[in-house]
Amino acid sequence: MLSTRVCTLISLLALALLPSASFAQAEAGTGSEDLEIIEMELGKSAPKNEVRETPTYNEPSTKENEMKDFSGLGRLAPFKEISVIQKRFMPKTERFQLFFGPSFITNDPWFTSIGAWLKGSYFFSETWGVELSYSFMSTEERQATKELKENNNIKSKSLVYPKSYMGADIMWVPIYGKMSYFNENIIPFDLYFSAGYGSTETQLGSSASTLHIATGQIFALSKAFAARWDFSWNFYNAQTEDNETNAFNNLFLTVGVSWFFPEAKYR
Amino acid sequence: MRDGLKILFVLLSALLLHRTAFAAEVIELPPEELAQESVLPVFDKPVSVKNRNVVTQDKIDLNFFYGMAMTEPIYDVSKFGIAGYYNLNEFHAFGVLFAKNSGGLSKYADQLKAEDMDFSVAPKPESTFLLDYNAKAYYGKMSMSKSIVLNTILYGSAGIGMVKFQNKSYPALALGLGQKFFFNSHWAFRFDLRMYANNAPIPFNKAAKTTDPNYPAGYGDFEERLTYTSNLEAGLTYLF
Repeated sequence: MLSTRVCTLISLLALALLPSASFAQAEAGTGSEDLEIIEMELGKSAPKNEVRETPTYNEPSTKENEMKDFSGLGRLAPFKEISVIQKRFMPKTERFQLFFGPSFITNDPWFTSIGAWLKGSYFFSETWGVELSYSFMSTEERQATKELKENNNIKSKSLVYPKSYMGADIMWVPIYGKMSYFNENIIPFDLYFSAGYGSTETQLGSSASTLHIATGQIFALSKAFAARWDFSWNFYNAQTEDNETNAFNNLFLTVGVSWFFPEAKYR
Repeated sequence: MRDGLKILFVLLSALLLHRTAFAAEVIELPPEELAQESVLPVFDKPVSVKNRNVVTQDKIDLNFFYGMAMTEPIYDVSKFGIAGYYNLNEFHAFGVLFAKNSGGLSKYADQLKAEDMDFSVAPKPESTFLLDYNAKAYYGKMSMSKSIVLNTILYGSAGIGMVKFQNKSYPALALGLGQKFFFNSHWAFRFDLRMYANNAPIPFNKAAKTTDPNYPAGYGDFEERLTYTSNLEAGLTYLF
């Protein structure tokens, strides 16, 4: 008889000590005085469970999640594309960019100029940076220029073409986006504008102060490498063979590869 | 007694579990041991865009544009055009393009008047007609200074057609790249860079020189050869 009572007490104690049982009991409120006393005693000695704040995630309140009826479901708008651009795949802040790409002049009807651009950039932020540029060109006369000379004995003395260019720009990168390639791969990109000043060396050996504006896109291939195209427009006044000073402009199209370093600091 | 032992065992187990549960501690790892990078998940059947803002499939788009023949030495470089495309799906579109050249001569032709050259006697390009295919390889969205979101389509184009001069029409091929920037689901800015290859009469004939005894030359006096012209076009698209 005694052992049966001891067993019963021990069983009750065991149930009280089980955490799940104690939580369930608080909600259920069975009303057993003995159990309440035991629980109170245990509560005094039980270790306090520390409450830690989770800094980034807040559980929505149950009121927000509460659904009163389902009649409104039929009126819900379809889940369309969310117009939010997430964090950058390839951050540029406090990183350098080294770019190299073959290039040609797209707007010269008299000469074919092919060469390359080398650019080095530093980004203060995701939006602003500075860039140093150097380009060199190899040029030959187009068929039209040869025909003008051969058929009409007219030489292109009043024409000037660039041998090289060196300058500095301020880069503004206001546009960031993502593209999907045939709905498979996602490629993040930046679209930038830059403007600056430099010097063009012409085929006659003279240097001409040059205003440079450019735009282009940088497609992130990885967090360190990117494909980039660049449209650069150079404006300058240069002296011709006739000793006249004329205005010229060259529109360069360059496609190449960028390397970003050091390694990015991620969120 | 045996039952008592069993219950004692249960009690001890419960006590042990109870203590373990309350003794759970927060483990704080040093920051350098935490994940530093995010990686993109790889799926067997990746679908990058599920609900497009700009749906082009089975739709017609109408385009108006201004074009500039950047490597044209003699004639006016401007042209105005209209183009219509039927979008088979989100990746392929076929259409027709018509562009009308501006009359007149370029600034270079005016300069060459001083060298007794009169290019007005040479046949000028009048218009271009192309059957054009667009491969819309890239579709995406971009944010402008985190305030405006635009959708964009980057595509390659290939066209075949005719370039009409004053005296004759010549077959032409055109390859290019283009990009559309949609500022809503119907309207977009479009930019195209096209390289044209076609035969054309060459204006640098002796008979175009005012001092030549055969001046003025007839259209038939100008030789033909293959020419390449790069065109930059900018315009508007309306998607029906």
